[in-house]
Amino acid sequence: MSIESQLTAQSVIRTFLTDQLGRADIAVDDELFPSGFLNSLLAMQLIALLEKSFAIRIEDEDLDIANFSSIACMTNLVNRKRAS
Amino acid sequence: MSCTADVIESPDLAEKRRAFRRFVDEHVRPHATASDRAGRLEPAVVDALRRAGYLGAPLSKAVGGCGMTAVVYGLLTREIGRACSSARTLLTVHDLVGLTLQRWGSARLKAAILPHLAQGGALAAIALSEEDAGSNAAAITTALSQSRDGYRLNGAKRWVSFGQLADWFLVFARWEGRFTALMVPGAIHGLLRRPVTSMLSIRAGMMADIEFHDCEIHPDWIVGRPGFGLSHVGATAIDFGRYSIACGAVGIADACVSASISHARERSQAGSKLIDHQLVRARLTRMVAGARAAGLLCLRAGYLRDTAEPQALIETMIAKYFACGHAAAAANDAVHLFGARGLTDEYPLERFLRDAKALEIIEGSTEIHETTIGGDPLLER
Repeated sequence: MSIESQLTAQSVIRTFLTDQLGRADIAVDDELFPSGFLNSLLAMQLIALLEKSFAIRIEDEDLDIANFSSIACMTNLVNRKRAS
Repeated sequence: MSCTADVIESPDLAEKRRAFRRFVDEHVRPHATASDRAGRLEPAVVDALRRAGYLGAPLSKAVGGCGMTAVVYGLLTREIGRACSSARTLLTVHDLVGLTLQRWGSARLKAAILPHLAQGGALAAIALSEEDAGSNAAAITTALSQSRDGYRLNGAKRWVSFGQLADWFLVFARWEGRFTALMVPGAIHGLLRRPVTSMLSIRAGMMADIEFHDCEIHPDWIVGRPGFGLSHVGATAIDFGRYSIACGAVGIADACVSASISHARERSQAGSKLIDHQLVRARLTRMVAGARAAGLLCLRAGYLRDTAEPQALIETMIAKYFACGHAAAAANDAVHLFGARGLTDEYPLERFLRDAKALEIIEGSTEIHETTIGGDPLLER
């Protein structure tokens, strides 16, 4: 995965989360869901965003909080899915 | 299809909608009042829906469904809702389970169940609500537990539409504190169905309360990863349910508009037609404008669903909120315009009014929609 596409993925996810969470200061490694619990609307919108933006399919086995807990984790998930 | 306007004008969609209406006029409408009175959807209606391929139609062709798009499915649901909300409810619950399983089920579980759901050979229902878990689904207490002799399910679900009939239930439970979804066969030992017969609305919806007494669960029946049962599996199910119900609500509003206009044109009192009264025209105007708007919101939501846009979820909520509120208002107006006749079951209007009320409560009440939509961060775009 090129550095360029890594940055694109980060930027798409960050822009979405900034709008959704109303915070402009989200770092790539920030723990987004410290309670381990995702609001279901945001959770489903995130799945749709990742699938639509990166032409991937999030499957049953990808449902792991570790895949969604930070921008970096989601970027890694996207990159793994795109590589496979 | 590049925008909603193209969807509205498409001759292909108009033809599909006419075909759905012919089907409904022939196979659904004639049984609607009798089903409502009997508290049981006529088996002939279920058979007709199955034979036409409408049960499981949105499931992919790979599993035996029709791969029907959300826009087309919306029109089908709307036409069925125009005649019989109980028949529409069967489609809603069956298809929301099928699509949720298709989305999050394991390959093995999907291969075992989906072909049957896609053909309507087996019927599915959703068991989420409990005595103390309604709008707050996170309060569910139904529990999956693991011991030396396997997995066991215990708990009680309420308000399961078509719970009297379903062959499979999509059940939501806690497993070691994690929300977990699972498919449970209706014929399993320890599953008890208690028919609910006292409902105001959707009386042919064959509702049941379901109890699980130490039901033995195969681990393959779990849908999605434990912990994601509500946030992803449940949310997928409810999101689809909202779309289906919104379209059904537009059908109710359509039917009320159509009946009210005919009645106002024909009925004379004190030497003038009802339609010549300005107050009647004002009421008809509100009814028809709202029905048109609700129809367009559903088409918009359907288009966004078909193109898998992230905003499809919130736009579906907006469509559901408006369409269900308007269907209840339009049904109330229609009963009013028909006078005493509107209060009898010789006309379908009192049934529309009763059924529309339920739509303001299920799949997220009006208030749940208002607090979510009104607080959406992307609303100003």
